[in-house]
Amino acid sequence: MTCEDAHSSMHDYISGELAPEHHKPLMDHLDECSDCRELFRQTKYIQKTMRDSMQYDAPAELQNTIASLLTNA
Amino acid sequence: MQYIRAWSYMKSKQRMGFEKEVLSHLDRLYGYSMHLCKNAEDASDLVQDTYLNALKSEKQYSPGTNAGAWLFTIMRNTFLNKIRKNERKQVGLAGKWIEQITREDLPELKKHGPDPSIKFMDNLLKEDITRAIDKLPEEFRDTVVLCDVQGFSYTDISSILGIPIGTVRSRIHRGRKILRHLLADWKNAAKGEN
Repeated sequence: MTCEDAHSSMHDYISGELAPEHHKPLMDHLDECSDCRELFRQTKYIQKTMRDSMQYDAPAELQNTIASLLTNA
Repeated sequence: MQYIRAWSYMKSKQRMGFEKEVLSHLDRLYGYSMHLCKNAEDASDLVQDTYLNALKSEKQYSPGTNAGAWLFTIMRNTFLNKIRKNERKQVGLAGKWIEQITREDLPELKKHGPDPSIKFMDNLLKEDITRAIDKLPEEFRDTVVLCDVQGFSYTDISSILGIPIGTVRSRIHRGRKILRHLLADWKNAAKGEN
């Protein structure tokens, strides 16, 4: 696997879209290539931080409004 | 009479299933709404309008199908209609999205491998992420948020945004690269100032 192929595969892997049969070739490449390994780590780290930063709980008032909207529809 | 009673029972059971299903997506919808609107008041209004529109379109929803993608599609369309109807009242940054990274910059981002000048960042702050996402051109921002924050599949995102799956995939790949470079540039600049 080339680095270019690995970059494409790692994005799909991080998205949960890489077919299982392509996991091993990607992991083998990451074992061997420190640049790609670092890129993988960075991308995963940004994804996790983004997910943690942009999670919200709907305010209680909104929860009540929506619940009553649905019940009374 | 018995038939009518059985039909009413089935209908109410189906109705309760629908309510439960759409309610289970409330937090995610509110999160996406905050991303679109940038403030809590507009975000709550958009969520309410989304549920009202979902109720109007209830017949189009088939139980057992992906309610999340269906609701996010409604929210996005509701949001876009709001902007179109009320251009003077800009909702969040929607009317002035800054596209500082133009398409001309993208070839630079296609370089393979981590840029050796990027000494990557740990301890990213929420503010850094929010700022970087706001700097992403719209088409990249929405796909990246729907994938990385909301956890939708490429197929669902394709349906929500009305674009081909190949385009979803390429926007996610490129959007993440732009984000990484933006964050790295800021981190490196901050280090230089110290």
